[in-house]
Amino acid sequence: MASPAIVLPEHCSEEKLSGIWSWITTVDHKRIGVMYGVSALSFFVLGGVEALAIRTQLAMPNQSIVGAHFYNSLVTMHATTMIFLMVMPLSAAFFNYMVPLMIGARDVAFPRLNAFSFWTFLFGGLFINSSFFFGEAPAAGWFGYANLTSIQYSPGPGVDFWALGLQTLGVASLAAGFNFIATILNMRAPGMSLMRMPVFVWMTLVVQFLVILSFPMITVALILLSFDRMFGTNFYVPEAGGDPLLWQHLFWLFGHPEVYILILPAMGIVSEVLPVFARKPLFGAPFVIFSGILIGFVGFGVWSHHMFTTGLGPVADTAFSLATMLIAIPTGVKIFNWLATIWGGSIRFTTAMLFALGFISMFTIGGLSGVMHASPPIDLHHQDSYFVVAHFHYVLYGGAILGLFSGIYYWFPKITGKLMDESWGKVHFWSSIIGLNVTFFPMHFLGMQGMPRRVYTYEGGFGWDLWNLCATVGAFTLAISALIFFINLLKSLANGEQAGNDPWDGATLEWTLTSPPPVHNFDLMPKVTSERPFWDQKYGSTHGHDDTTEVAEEEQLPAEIHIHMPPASYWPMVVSFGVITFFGGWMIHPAVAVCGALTVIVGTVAWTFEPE
Amino acid sequence: MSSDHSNVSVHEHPPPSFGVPNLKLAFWLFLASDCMLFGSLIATYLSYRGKDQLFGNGPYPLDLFSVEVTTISTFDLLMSSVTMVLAVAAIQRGNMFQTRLWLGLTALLGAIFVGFQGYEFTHFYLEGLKLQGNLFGSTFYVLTGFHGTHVTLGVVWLLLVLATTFTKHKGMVTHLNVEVAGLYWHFVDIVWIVIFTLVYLMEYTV
Amino acid sequence: MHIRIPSIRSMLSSVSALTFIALSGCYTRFDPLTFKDDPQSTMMPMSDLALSTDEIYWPVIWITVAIFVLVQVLLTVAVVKFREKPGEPMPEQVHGNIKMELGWTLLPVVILVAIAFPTVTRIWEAQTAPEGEVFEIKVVGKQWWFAFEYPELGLVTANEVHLPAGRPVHLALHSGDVIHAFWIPRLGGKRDLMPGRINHIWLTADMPPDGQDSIRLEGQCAELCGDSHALMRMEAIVHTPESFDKWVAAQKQAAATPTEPLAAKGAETFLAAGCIACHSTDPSNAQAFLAPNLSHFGSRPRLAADRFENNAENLAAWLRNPQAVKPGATMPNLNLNDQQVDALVAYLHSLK
Repeated sequence: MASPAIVLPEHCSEEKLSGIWSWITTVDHKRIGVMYGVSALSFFVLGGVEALAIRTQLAMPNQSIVGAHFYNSLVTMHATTMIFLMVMPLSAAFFNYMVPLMIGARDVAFPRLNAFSFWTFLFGGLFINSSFFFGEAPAAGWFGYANLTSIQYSPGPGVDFWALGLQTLGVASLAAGFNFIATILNMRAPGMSLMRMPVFVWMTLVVQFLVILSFPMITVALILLSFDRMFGTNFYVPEAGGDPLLWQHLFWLFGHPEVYILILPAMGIVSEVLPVFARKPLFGAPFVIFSGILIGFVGFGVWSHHMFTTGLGPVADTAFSLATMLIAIPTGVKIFNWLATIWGGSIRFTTAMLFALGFISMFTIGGLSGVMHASPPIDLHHQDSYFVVAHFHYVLYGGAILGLFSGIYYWFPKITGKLMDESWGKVHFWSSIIGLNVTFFPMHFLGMQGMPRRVYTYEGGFGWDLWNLCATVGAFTLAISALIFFINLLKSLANGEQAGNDPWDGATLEWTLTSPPPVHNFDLMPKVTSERPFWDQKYGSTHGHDDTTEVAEEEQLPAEIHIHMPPASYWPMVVSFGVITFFGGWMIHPAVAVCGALTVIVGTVAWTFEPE
Repeated sequence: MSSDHSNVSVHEHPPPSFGVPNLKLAFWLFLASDCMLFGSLIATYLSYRGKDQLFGNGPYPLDLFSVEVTTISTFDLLMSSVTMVLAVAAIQRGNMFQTRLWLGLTALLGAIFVGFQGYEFTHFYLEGLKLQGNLFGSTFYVLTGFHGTHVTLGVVWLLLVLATTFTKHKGMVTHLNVEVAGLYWHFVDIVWIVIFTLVYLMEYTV
Repeated sequence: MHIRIPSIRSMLSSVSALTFIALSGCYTRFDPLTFKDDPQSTMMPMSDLALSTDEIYWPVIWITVAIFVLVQVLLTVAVVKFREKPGEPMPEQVHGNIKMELGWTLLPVVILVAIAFPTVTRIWEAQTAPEGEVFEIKVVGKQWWFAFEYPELGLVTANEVHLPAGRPVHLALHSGDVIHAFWIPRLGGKRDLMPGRINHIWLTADMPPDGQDSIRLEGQCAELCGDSHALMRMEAIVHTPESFDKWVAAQKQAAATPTEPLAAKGAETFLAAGCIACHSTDPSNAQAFLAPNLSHFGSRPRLAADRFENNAENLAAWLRNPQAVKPGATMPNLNLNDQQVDALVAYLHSLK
């Protein structure tokens, strides 16, 4: 088959694609993905430093390295940073870079909206963190329970920074949600039916549905909070009849789906990595997909298991307890399907694979302690104790972050064209596993010994001293492991081995492309005949019937193909700037907020009339 | 389209795999999301409904509501849905004059609704219902205020669509734009019917 | 296929049998994990409520440990057995096996049903008021201390709650400002103190062990409630019936007028410096939810919401600058001079 010449538009030329301005105005999903990744990893460092400060303070009883109020700020900002500014955007980095490549598309459905999501996320993250320089960082917890967040009990600007910053991040996430669902549903290559989509793409789809349905609820919760604080309403003021419990309902209606927003991308990555390095297809892919969907659905019906201690009454406790146990079933299914995937395979222990295997092992611990909390009598002990801290760190570090690391080692060669160093990678893996177990396992014991979470200090004599010291040592081990990762990343970027197009013998469409892929991704739209299109091309179909013949038919190709690519635009960034000015403006003067709103409107109009 | 399928796939993105244009699909998703927003606001209103009797001072809903006036504004908004349907029908037929006419009329009816709301807010405020007063005031202003903001943005949007019909972008793009604006407009109407029922019509026990 | 599949029926029956054993016969408490020397251990029940939790806690721990071991063993076997060997042919491309997948979908169902039954019965038991006479205690959480009122006795205490062993107790939980949580792990799970609502705990404390008159149990606030959340502690003192009566009788005595000159001067300072504006020394003064009731303060082993040893040095530091001891404390710094502080310390410690 003679390859036709590819003609790209003038704005895709080499010189137009270099320099900082080209990054600021880019609408290329791959560049946006890289920017998401770089920002997320920078915030990872910030959140990590906060974690180290927390662990240093708690290393021994009765320490006062940081004050009580600043400690509460550290706890709040550590969680906010790691959830909204690290795990979510790092997942978004992979959504952006990989989803179009995996479904055989040239870009996402709305490239400029995609740029808008990124800039809004970045401005929102910087805005929340700027609170450190403006008097007070938020200190009421990442869950911001009313009425501690009221102006009476949190008079500083911290809570305003937090509420308005989260609104901004919500706008970014929602825009990305609409964009990616449209992309995944609408822009699949010919032949890629829903059930032939890679599992990572499926999990992305589920996550985006969770985003668009859950974020509006925290939006409302935060609007009511901001109205209380800025305009003197009484939504959460019990003295005037307001109910602090309303906040908890709205927050956890968002907050529990958020947990799956954090973990499902990692599950998707693991479902891609395990089959490739075991050289087998994913065992029971439909089961894995449907269990992901089920987790997403049931995830909306379990929020009150975060509220067993609030006294909702036995009926609600029973219902939410049973629903929570129900959600353990699809999660268990996934674990066993992954085990069956590697069973009977031919396993290559690359770093990406090690992290995926580590995910199975560590996530199981977090999942099982989650089953314990599903039982309210036990939860009444665990709630707000260090046992819960142990639980969700096994889910989020042992689960989400190990999964994301696996993704980094797996796709780094595709993104940069260079392999990451495997020896450093293995050191990184083992130091992570050791570090995370030394840090978080003793926290189970602390919880059983009755240590509550979010305490800035504690007394000796409760049996907590040893385990706290242990956790602090572990935290510094984790810091070293992260340092090793960053060294590896930079070293490999500078002089890593050339990767070639398909270093891992991959199965999905992204490995058919050059590393890094060309700006327009695909010369010709690929045609897909199974869930492993590239594998079939290399080894033949492994499904009973051979339907690869479809591709074989020769097509009459023109000598030249003109590819339409969207031109760069700075309007997305302008509109993002308007969004952050609108939200942040309320803290300065309503007039500033109005200016922000006008910027949004003017920017949107200009954007609409721009040639596509 | 299936006959020249391979050609399309060479040059451009293949046709939408889901059968709905990207913009329309994204807007349906946006509406799903907006449903959750209004759902949460309405749930807040309902959970505080009647609580103002126990805390704080009046005025209370029964002192203020004039169902007659609000019925007229509701009718006005419903009529705007009719004109919106006519606008979409007109552009499907390719009748530019009628498209502009019905779009303009829809925007006008929308603006009248916003005017009604402005009158109502002013009137209630002068009667002593403050945003910061009792829970009824807070929940009422926030819920209907958010709806009013939606209508206002809708009016701005309709006027923008109207403006695009005078530019050189015609055909498919404009058609889709009108249809999507229509989706939004009908959604805002439906939400108002829910709000009207729950806030104004459902009986308040004194 | 590399795996031989047992039939679903045999798998199900063996799993339910195992689960049954786990739940009925396996209420095995593993000594090192009871943390029995730790005063705030959740694993050393001292009430009917805590014991009923304990009875489900341990089986669930063992079940989760068993599943954990199963997964890790399978993972280890797979990793060791199926590592790539040179020259190995392409592994068989297995896409799935519906029977097996249904099997491991149903396996968790069986286990979860086994956990669900005792869970649900306990939810209802814990939230139903017991029949018959109940000893009432009102709990109020404030930033950052606990007040306890005993309406039947006409008494109030601060940061120490006294319970009669063997009698059903009803704790009515209130909040004076933000959300707090009442948690004395040895008496049972926590419950939030919600502003604008009243929550409930019903329990019957066990007799103090080894023939003691009373036993002190540690607890603290478990919901982030502001700067000094970490310092918001309390103690429960569980008395035998005789010891409880004795405590009530002693508590009802009004504070003795100090005879020692320094303490007498302190009593004057207490009035003059304005302490009396918030703190009451009358043990029956229920109005005293404004600030901790200080009657019998001298007999309390701990001060500042049960956080520091109640000695002259700590008390003096507290009086000189409350915020330095407890960040954000609402007690104002009265700028007392050294003589006033010494006198107040003597006076307060004389209140026994």
